[in-house]
Amino acid sequence: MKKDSLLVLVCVVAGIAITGWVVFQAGALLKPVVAAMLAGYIVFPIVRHANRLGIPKSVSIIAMFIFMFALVVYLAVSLIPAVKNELEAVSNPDNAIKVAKSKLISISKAITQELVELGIVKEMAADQIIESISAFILEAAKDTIMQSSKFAKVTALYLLIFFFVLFFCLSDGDRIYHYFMEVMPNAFYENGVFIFGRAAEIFGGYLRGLVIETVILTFISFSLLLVLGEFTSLTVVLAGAIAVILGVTNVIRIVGPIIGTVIGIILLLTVGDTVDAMAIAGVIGVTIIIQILDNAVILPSVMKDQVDIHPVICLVGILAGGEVAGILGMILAIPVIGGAKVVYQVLSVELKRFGSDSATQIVAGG
Amino acid sequence: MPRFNIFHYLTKRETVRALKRLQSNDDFLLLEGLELFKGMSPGAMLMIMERLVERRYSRGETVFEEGQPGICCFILKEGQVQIFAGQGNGDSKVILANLTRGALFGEIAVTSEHHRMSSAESQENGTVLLSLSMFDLSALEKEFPKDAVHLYKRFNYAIVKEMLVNMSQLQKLKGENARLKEQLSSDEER
Repeated sequence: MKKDSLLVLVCVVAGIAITGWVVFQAGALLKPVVAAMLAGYIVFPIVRHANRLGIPKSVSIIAMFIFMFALVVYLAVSLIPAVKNELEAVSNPDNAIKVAKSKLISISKAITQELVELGIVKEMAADQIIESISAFILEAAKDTIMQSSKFAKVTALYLLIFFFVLFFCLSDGDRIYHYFMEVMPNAFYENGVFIFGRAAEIFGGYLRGLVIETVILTFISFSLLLVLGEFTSLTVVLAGAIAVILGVTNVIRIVGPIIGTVIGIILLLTVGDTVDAMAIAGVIGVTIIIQILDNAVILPSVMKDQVDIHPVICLVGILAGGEVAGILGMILAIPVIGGAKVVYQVLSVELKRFGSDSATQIVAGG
Repeated sequence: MPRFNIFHYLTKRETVRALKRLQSNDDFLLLEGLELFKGMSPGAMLMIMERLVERRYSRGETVFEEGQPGICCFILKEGQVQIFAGQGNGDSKVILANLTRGALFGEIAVTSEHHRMSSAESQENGTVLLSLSMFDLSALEKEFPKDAVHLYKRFNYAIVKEMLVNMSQLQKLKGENARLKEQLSSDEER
């Protein structure tokens, strides 16, 4: 059995390495494909459940697609007029960076002035502080704006590939599973079924928990930002956009909340003509609140099958994922590391639990 | 008058339609004829049909080995499979059964999460097996608990029947062993 497990482990590692190389080489085109496959994996149980309730699969898939398409059209129709200026800024990143820089300098000056008046900071050091803060945030803003600019240009193609692949994942999900099971060599079949089944149980629970966590956090962020909007210049549309950003970027462990907050602040700075310091402070406050809620309440209750990964490995994985596949790589880094860990766990521990002493006694006793 | 439940109606209609489509399916006809699946609800039968995986083996190919974890149970669709215990390391091979179409095997390890207590080998080229894994049985437990209980009872019945046959064979072998020992000792005395 040991030899079989080693062979399976070697095959799995080789498979992951080859897949990683292909992903690296194929690059951009594979991102929407992978995203669609993950989305299909998460959503497929809904389609299967609808099928059990008597709704034909084709009907539930088409209904889901109509809903998604309607949502995209609604967002486009309602958001484009509101963010016309911002879209122009993103399409011209150099201009956006200039605008962000001047606004950052003005807000840094305003904050530092307050600190000098309160006696916390000496006037001599004020200019240095302004320069340091502006330079630090500007670098982050520059990278984000450049990424957003590139992303905006390929969004249409990504969406097309995404929905195309998602449709076939949902309609042929069972057949794809059967195909892989049928082509698996006989020597590895049972071990392969166990690895896949157990990994799917844990990994699937983790992914679905991640989606539920994101939806809950987005909803809470939106509610808090709506309240903030009563006291600041934050509009409902902007609150919704920032809430979605905070919710989605939270998927990236450790650095995600920081990225989400920075993007939210950049959105606030680029929208409108005045710098609303209270709104910016409010966004930072909302991030802190949702992080506390997430770690104390939401995560323990939603993520029953949490894949426990050391924070250092998380960080290294996220950085490596960012290098390989940008934002999508950072989002997928933890699920991929978690998946690899689950496969290793199944091979080294779970397969060995078969044939424990108690089970032997029951069988021998007849 | 019972209340009309739209989902119940749709489920039943979809199940009936799906079962009609399966009437010409060879795997479905095989399963329908087995004692193991008699009395199962149409929904549960459909679920099992969706999850069955067909495996093909050539002559002499191992299906599973003694000592391996038991993950799947198998139903023989075509060909012949031999179940045996003990091989290699000087152990003599003890043939326990030669199975033909419709036979179920591998169920003990799957239901008890135990290592395989015997090995199975294909005796013909083109042997076709239909496999159901422990995960499929877990999924059946969640969606159709009554049918899962029914299936486990049938598994237990099959296992007990097999054990009774093995015990009776064991008694015969014990008797044979005692007789041979007696003969040996009387030969030595002479």
